[in-house]
Amino acid sequence: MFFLLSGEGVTDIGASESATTICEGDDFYVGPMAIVVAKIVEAQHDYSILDGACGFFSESNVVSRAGELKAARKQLRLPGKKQAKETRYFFNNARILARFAKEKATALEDEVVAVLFRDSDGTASAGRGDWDEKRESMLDGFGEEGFDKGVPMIPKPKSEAWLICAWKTQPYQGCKALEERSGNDKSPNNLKDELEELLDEEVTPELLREKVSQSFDIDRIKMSSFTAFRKRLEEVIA
Amino acid sequence: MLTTTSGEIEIFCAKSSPPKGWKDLKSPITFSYEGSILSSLKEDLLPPSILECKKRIAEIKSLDLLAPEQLRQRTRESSGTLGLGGQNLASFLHEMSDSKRFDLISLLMKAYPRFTGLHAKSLRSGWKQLEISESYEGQESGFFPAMTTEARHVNDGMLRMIAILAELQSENRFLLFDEIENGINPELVEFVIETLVETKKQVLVTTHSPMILNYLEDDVARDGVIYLYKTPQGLTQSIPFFSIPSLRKKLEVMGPGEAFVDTNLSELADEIDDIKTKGA
Repeated sequence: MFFLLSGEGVTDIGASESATTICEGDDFYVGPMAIVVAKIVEAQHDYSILDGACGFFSESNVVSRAGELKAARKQLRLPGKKQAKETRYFFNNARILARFAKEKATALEDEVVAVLFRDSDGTASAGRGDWDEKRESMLDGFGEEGFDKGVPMIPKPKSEAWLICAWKTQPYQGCKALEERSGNDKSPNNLKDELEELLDEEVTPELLREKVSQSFDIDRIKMSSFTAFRKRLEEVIA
Repeated sequence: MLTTTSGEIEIFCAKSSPPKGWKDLKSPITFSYEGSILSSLKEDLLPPSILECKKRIAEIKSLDLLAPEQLRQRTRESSGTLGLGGQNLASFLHEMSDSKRFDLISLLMKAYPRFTGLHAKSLRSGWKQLEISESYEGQESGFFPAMTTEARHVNDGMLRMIAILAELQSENRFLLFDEIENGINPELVEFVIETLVETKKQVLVTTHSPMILNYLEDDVARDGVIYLYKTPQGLTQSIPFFSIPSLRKKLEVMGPGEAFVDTNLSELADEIDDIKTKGA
């Protein structure tokens, strides 16, 4: 089983250090959220996906392939009773990743699990839309491409909430409130600043990797967005 | 910069070095005005660049009231332009040069495969009547002859299409089409948009239609789509739609129309407010 991971940047899933479409091995700079994925898989299967069983697919690669979907200008999907607003971004990202995942599965002649990380309240939403509809839309996007091993990884409102939960003064306690916070980095008391204050040093990707490796207990994070992600991941790797 | 506040009008140059001929103006508004204050001010009070702007705005040919009933009317003369509601269409087409009429017919044939021509038929006393010709299969057998239809029996959408394309053949340099999607068959939206994007004239279109937007190329949408909205205070504001960070992000993975229709516009004001107060 191969894991294809896609995120928004170096502080979540990671970054590509090569120009290849799907970056693997040492070319994949593993980000903190990729380590979280690895921990969950390891808990169930007793091996690390980071030992050659995963690849990274950058957001810019998603964008470069979006033209395939955009070309069908007549196929305008309208929001309505069955499709909420502020969900299309998640749907289309899932469709594109699913296409790559299916191609990778054919090339490897193996099963491929695709994990798609997007903040629930990131740039594309700016605080609008419901988390569960976005998640559902991502699942629909995987389904639209006939891909059944897609996993939405959508922290509510963003990954800092999961990290703060693990590292706050009273770790893993009362974390639900974090999910109700704004994802806007310009808002007062935003999650990014709070994380920096908590760590008491500049937040770098390297620091986050280190901290997640050492002290991020997947069994103690009780947040609905994390639980939904974990449950779905465990379902597809079962 | 032109402002009208507290009963005063002020024109001043926002740059440190004003262009040649510039003069600031500050004066109380001592009259009741409607529409643009520019239309009421004496021209010799206006700096040259503002005067030029006023002239350009006055030259905009607005077809914001295209009405099928008016497009169908028999008319006498057009003075080289369509009326606000398109009422001079027949005489406008009659006065058009052969080469321009040929270009117009070629465009219409692309849009309507059965279309073969249009004629502005001269009637008594100088009245002109628009007719269109179409050709259907089976013509040889005599059951379905080439059909000529008087304007009063032509469908609304086709008349609007003729008016829009005819205006592109006019001498006007800047055209405004209000809610261009009205009456246009969705099948023809792509054709209309491509024709408008490719024309050498400046074109301003207002629309609520995601389909119209979806047929714009991303770069055209990024540069050309302006979002008009009202603030809670009732002020009308504008912003390049795809300069809004969330819309710019959405445009990366979906068409401009999809991004528009997927966005909760009533909540978009918060993000715009955020950009304007805190910076993007």
